[in-house]
Amino acid sequence: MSEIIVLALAALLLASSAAVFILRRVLHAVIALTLAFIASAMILIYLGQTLVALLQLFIFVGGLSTYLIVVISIEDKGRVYGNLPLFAVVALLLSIVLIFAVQYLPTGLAAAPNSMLQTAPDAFGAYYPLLYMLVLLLFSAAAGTVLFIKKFVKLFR
Amino acid sequence: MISEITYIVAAAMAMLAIAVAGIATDKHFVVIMLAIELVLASSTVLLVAFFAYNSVPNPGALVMLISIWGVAAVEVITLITFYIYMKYRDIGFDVTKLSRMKW
Repeated sequence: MSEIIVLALAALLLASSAAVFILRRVLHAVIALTLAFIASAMILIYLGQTLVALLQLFIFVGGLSTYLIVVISIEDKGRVYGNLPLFAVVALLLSIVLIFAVQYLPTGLAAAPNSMLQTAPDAFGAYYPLLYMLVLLLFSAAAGTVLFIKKFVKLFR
Repeated sequence: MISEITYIVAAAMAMLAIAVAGIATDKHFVVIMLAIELVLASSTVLLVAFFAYNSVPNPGALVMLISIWGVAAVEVITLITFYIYMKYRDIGFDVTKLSRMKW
């Protein structure tokens, strides 16, 4: 039963990922991307990381996808396709090569899934400068966006 | 459970392959940026899968995961900024013609 669930989630993940490149309108591609995020969050739930899956849903689906859908739906026209046959061939060949490497996974795996939440105190204690740098990166990206748009686009004037 | 983790890793690998193939073959700026989001999502799944079933879990995985989310957020901010700029300046979204952009 659990194998069927995993295979269904993997099929949803791959179908929605491929739809990003197959659909003609950019807005539909963004919606397919949102579906891929939801499928990946469901896989995280299957892996026993409920909190991480919830955070992934908040950040990717609730934040980023909504932001993208709102902005891109303002003016969305059909786009020229990429080279779909070439895309299919490259995706298939790369998948075969990458999946071939899966057989070399280590065999000494844990019997039950580890919880990411339990490692949080160690992680935040040891790597806190990295988190400060990440906050700085986000802040500078947001500030840079406002400055860029104010300088080059007469949108806020 | 080992077979199921193999399926999940294989699915994440295939998702990565689809995203890289899309970057290589598509010309639309926004779609290429969405493909980079797919790469980040597949790396999230791989990271969590390897963390969950590692016999010695590494606490750094959580910080790595937060870093991936941060980079994804910054990438979307950049995408939206350039989208608005290119729309306003009436520049096409074909990445092969982006050299026409002038400051």
